[in-house]
Amino acid sequence: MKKILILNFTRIGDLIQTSPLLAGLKEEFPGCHITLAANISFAGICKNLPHIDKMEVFDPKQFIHTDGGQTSIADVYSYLDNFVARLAAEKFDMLINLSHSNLTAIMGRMLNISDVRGIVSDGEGNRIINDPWLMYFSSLLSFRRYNTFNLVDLYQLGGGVKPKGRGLFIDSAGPERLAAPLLAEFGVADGERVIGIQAGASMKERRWPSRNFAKSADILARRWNAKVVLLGAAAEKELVDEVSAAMEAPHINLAGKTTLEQLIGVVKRCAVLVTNDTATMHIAAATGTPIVALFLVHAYGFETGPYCDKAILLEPEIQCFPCLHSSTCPHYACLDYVTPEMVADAAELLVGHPDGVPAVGAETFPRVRLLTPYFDQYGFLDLRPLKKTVPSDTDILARIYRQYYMRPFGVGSGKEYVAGYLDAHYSRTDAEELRRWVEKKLDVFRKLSDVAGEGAEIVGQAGRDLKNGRMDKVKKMAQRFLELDRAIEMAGLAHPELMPAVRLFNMGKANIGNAAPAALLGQSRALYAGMVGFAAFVMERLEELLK
Amino acid sequence: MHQREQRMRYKEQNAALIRERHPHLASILHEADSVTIEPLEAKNGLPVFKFEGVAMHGAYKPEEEGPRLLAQIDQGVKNIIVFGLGYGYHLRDVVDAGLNVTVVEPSIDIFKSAAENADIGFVLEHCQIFVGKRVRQVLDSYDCRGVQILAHRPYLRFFQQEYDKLEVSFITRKLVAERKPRVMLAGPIYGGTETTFRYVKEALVTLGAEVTAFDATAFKHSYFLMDDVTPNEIHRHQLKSLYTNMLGEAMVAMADDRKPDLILVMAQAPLDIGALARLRQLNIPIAFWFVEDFRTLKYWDRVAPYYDYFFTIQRGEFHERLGKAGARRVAYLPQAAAPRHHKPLALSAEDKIFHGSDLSFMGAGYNNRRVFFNGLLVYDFKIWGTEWDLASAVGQRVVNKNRRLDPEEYIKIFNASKINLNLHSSIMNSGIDPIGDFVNPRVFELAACGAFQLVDVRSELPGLMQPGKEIETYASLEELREKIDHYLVHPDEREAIARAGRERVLEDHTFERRMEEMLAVIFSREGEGFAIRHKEEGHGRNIVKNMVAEAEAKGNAELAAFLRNFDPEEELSLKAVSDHINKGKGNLGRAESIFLMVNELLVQK
Repeated sequence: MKKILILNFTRIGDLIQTSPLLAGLKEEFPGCHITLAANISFAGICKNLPHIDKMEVFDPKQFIHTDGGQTSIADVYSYLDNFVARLAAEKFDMLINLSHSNLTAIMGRMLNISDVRGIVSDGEGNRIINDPWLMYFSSLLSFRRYNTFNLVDLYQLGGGVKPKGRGLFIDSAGPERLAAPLLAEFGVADGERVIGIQAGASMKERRWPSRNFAKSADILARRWNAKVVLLGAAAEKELVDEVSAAMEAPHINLAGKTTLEQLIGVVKRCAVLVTNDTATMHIAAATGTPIVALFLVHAYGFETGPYCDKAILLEPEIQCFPCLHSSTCPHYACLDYVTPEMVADAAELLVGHPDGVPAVGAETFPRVRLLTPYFDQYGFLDLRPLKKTVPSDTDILARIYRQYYMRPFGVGSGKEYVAGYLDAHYSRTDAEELRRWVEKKLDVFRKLSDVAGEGAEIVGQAGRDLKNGRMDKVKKMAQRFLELDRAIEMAGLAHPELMPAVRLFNMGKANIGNAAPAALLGQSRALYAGMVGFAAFVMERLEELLK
Repeated sequence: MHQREQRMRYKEQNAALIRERHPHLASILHEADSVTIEPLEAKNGLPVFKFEGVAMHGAYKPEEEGPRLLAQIDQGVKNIIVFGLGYGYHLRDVVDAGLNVTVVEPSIDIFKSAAENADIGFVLEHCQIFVGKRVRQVLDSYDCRGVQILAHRPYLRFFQQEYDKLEVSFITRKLVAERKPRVMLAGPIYGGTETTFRYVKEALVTLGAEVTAFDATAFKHSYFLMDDVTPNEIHRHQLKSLYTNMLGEAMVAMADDRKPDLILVMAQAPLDIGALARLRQLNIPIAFWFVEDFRTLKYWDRVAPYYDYFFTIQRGEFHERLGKAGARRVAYLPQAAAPRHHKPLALSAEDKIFHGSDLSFMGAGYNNRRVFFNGLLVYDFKIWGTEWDLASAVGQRVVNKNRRLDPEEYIKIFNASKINLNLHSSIMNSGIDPIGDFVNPRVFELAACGAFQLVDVRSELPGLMQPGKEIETYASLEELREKIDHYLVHPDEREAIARAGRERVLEDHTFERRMEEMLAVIFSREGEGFAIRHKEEGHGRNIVKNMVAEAEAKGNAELAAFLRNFDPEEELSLKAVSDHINKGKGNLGRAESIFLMVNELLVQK
């Protein structure tokens, strides 16, 4: 029996998003035993996640005094020592580390597990990631707008499981039974339409204003003659009370009044959930509840959008979207781009078309991009815009990149993949303008290709010199490598569209830092050649756009 | 006869032990002006005595006082301070029990009497003994942690005041040493308070507090660079004010990060009401020591409501007005000396000549001094300091020509001068301030140096130094000249006053004393919980040697070996650990790996 350990110390939403990976592992390794290690603050949800055979709760915070009291280093040390020893004693066959942290990287290393997927540290404590999908995942934040892969698919790919287009998994039968009497107590009749409102968000700045939630709930309640249920954890009570105070329609305020299980049940009961990018949204995705989700400020739909096919995402059409996680905005103007009426209209559109939301007129939903998720023919989640607009540079390149990364999954290199998507969901770009743009981009990729090509060539030469024992020559070339790598780095900074390739190249370089000379040259050569291949692929696709 | 012989034996035996073990007390036995206390006999024949008519030991079985004192010792206490030596009966059992006993005897007469008549050999042999009214100096080099203090009860009839002072100092020092409160000290960018800030910091550290100082003087240079930016006075003022506010915000940021137990702000620190309001939101007690004249510097009324504790060098009218301005708790806390710096010096012959004179003055050339000193030009009078009008008759006497002097140089001048003149500055008067109340730091600094000074009368002075005995004053130019003439020809009187003045300052007017007094107010108000978090069971566990012991006890040899790379007496610093690990080459050991994780949890967050 294969014993698998998954380290995931991230939040509730992320844990739910891990569920397809767990299902996939169970299929790939029939009879395997899965242990999930999760942080105590978020581990509660795991009770309702199928495919977990054993939980390990990570709770070092019990020893850490943040109130100014003194934390005993010895206590924290011995907690970690014991935690690692306990896991090591299990003798796992496989480790999948889905946390980004250095802590789990070191922990992973200490467990001495032969098959490791995800971030792990080397013997000297440096982080290394060998899996290309997890490399992609961990550098994602530097090229967000060029990424079209949902986190859930990346989790699966990182764990070696191919997405199968099946959505999230959660046990909701028990929670449904728990929620029914609760809703009845508040006067919700059987069969009565319920609108769920989740106004919170882990980051305060990411929240759509409470008055807007209130207004959209009022509009929907009136239009549908439905009951509104305000959802939220105890910590969000103040915010939810604000929504409640601003509402005119009768509603039920459940903030802080539900357990996690009851919350799952209530969400399942809703005809629609209106929400920011939250854990509740992922619960709704898992229970099949239609979702109208606001992706504002830092939250980006392609990345963390609901992993389901019954949702509409609203994003602001503003140049700076999505914000960098590290930035603080002086205005947060994007919060007001989406109006309460738009949210209500989106909900009607969604609920009114259970078999697929149709496109909307280009003049509707001004300053807002509407997206709806679907599972593509390869089993991956994708988003399509509902308003036909002229595609942006990013839209086009992101599509080409998606095709590049999906080659191993049966996506060919033909022009149909990109052109088909653009034709179906976008209006046509002016031909002359497109030609000028393509030429400019070709130039950028050609330069990148030249630099990488030189790299590949001199690596080859260095390999021959090494064989002939000419270390002096090899050393001379090392300087040139540094210059080339610097040029690649600079190209990424000057042309953000190169960032995905450049970041992955850099990570690859970092991974081989300590290899023996021959291996180092071999791996370097693969990296340079990979870069040349990537540039060639993109250039071909760009040229096809003109045909 | 028998008992007289017995007493003679005690006297000889005690005298030998005093010479051998307590040589500093030997001279006391020969002091001339003490009153002889004659011994009496208890019913069982043991010697006892009365002090001013009151029996200081039981008249029947004085030896029973021993077990009674022992019974008062808390469990686990190893060190005690006992106030009152008497004839030592109450000390017998605590000494026999092996406790480390320090005896404080406030009366020289009683000590003499005990040495001559009582069997106190065991005390002289096993205990530390301090004799005299300067009781608090006992504590200056004493580790109060885990110590208990007790009084021999009859002493409290006569020495209640001394005991109270000792007890308050003791309790405060003990609390500070045990709890190690974290104090953030905020200082001025520039100005007279700069040195006070440094002395306060030293005193707090000596007492055992963990001090984080925001030394704004590091920003002084940039602050004054604003003067070069533009000649426009309004712009310069605004720029400096912005810069000041920025430093105030930096102080808030530091406090937010350090989360100290107490924030102590010195006068002139760049904290205006905006920054203070934000400091208050941190819910940390904030104390202010306004070591300025409230009549000259007037911003106190604006900031008063923001401080939990407002300490002042003036009271009366000032305290009333502070109350009206919304101050919460106001207390009087005069200036002080720092004996580590302000001390008698043995000067070289050159120093004596260069820095010395019959009469000297060290300080800035305020208007009242410029006028008043004209009347002293008949003397061998050297003036030192800055801001003098060098062209004037008085200015001709300024030795250093307005060059800024180091504190070390001041001390030489104080030590080399026969008479040090002290005249409180005044911008409104042409001589002595008729309503002068507070006492400047110079009074204490000069006294601490063992230097003789003549100081203008101040209403607060008699409460601090006894005029005529510990300090000499003048109320007019005439009186000053008379006293200069007198003391120049009576060096012995100068020395006696200077010596008594120094003793008084060491006992009552050091910065350590001031911090004890300040913290006593804060401890009593903040209650039992103040700074207590440090005392929780984990306290001290991060000291390397304790961690090593714990690792060994648990059989974790690898961890113990790893920890031995660090200073055993210090708290383990995670930065030092990660530096150590990063320096290491090759594969990480288990201890190193776990420490990297600890570092992630506790430092990187």
